Amino acid sequence: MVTALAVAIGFALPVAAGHYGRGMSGREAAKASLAFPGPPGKPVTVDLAAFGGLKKTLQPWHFRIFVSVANKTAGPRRVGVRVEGCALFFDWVVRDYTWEADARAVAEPIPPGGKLTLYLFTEVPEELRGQPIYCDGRIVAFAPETGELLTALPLRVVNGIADGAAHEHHHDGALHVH
Amino acid sequence: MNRIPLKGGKDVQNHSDRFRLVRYASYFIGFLLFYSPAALVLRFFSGLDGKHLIGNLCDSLNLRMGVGGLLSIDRWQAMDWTLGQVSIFVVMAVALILGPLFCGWLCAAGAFTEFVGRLVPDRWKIDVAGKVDAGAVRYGFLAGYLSLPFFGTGIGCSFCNFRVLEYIGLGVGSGFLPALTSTYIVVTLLWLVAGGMFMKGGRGWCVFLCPVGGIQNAMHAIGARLPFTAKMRYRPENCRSCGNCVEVCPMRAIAPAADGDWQTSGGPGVRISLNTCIACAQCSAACPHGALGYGFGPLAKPASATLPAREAARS
Ligand code: SF4
Ligand code: SF4
Repeated sequence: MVTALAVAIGFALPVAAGHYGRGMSGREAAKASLAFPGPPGKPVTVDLAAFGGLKKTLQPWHFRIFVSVANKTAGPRRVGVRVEGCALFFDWVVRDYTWEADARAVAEPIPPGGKLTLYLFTEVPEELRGQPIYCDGRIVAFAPETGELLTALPLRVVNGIADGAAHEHHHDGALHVH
Repeated sequence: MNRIPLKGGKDVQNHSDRFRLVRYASYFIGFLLFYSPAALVLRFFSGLDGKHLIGNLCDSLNLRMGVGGLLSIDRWQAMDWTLGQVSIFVVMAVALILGPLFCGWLCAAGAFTEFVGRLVPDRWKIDVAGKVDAGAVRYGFLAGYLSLPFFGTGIGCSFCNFRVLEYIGLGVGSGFLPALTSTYIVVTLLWLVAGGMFMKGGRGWCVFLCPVGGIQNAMHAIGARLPFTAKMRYRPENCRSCGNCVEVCPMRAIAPAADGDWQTSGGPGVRISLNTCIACAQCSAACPHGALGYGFGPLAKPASATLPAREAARS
């Protein structure tokens, strides 16, 4: 009986954690998926007010955005990535490819069908924290040789608490400021 | 550093302490092999080109993901195995024949909390040895973890102690540590604080919540019953019930055979749980009477796997 209870408790833990994790990850770790050529990606909204209680308590002003840029052309392409129209300062961690910080681009071409993936990290600076909107810009992928825009998607970083007036909660927990 | 006092004199104490250092050195090699920034295994497999250095444990070698995919129909249909998914089969095969050696000798995530736990005095810790049916909880956890694809969810990536260790290794400057999500904060609290600092042995996460450890011990619990496999072996006639092995076991896998206080009364030996023992052999190093040792052959008697070893030996 005690053993059965122990097994049941053990079994319930990952199932409960799975549901908790699924609810949290979309709210606290945004994903931006871009591809070229193709339609613009799904806009990304990070809402600090929608963070979970633990995150709000321990690391309320830090977050990360996972960005992937897929090369859907038939040939290898070098890709650059930048954030435009955003007052936040982002640290970049680029995976798998050598990142040339000055050019804001990878050194090696992304093969056809391949993906450039990177993390953007930021902390909302103190002077901005009282505001409802920290960023209303976009993530841009471009060709470093020509500057040609390959694709882009809107990026907003908001704080629902700071904006008491114009907001509504959607089913996914994200807060969209109008 | 919290030094566990052992019976049997200075030699026993020194031998046990030296052996622990050897174990930690082995785990450090595990850290260099599997984790950024060194990630030697990943470097090797990516052609020694310096790629796969940061944050790629998850895609390439994270054994948690490998376990999580074992019952995934999609993965079996696609037969598209990554390094991590193939590695879990190797680790399981080793556990079947040689015991859970990945946990016992290479897993830096388990060793890290064991080490950190030694900074906290034992009087502040919970000791689960002989009190909680750890095997039942951990196999229940493993079963739940394996069945997550059927619930349309998964926790391999979002609750990963391996990744938190990698983030610690990369440092605050990498950005990962300050920007944890709630799930990683939960992991840090359970793995490092509750299971590490405040549970005796420092391996509470390993004991209860690690699917990689759970699946290895499931294999070990089968394999150790075969007479030709390697495992911790017990010689009950040598045992003087001194309790050293119970004290030093990081997994709390060894306990008095009788559920009593034989440490004060002098009692009938110990038993090792095949469901939690990771074949680290720390108990063997602390035993003054040569009653424990890692090697090939039967357990004290083949039927003693789940019985108190000494009682089985007498029967
Ligand atoms: S019983 Fe011995 S070998 Fe097994 S985990 Fe404990 S100390 Fe290590
Ligand atoms: S096996 Fe027996 S003699 Fe050896 S350390 Fe454990 S209790 Fe002491």
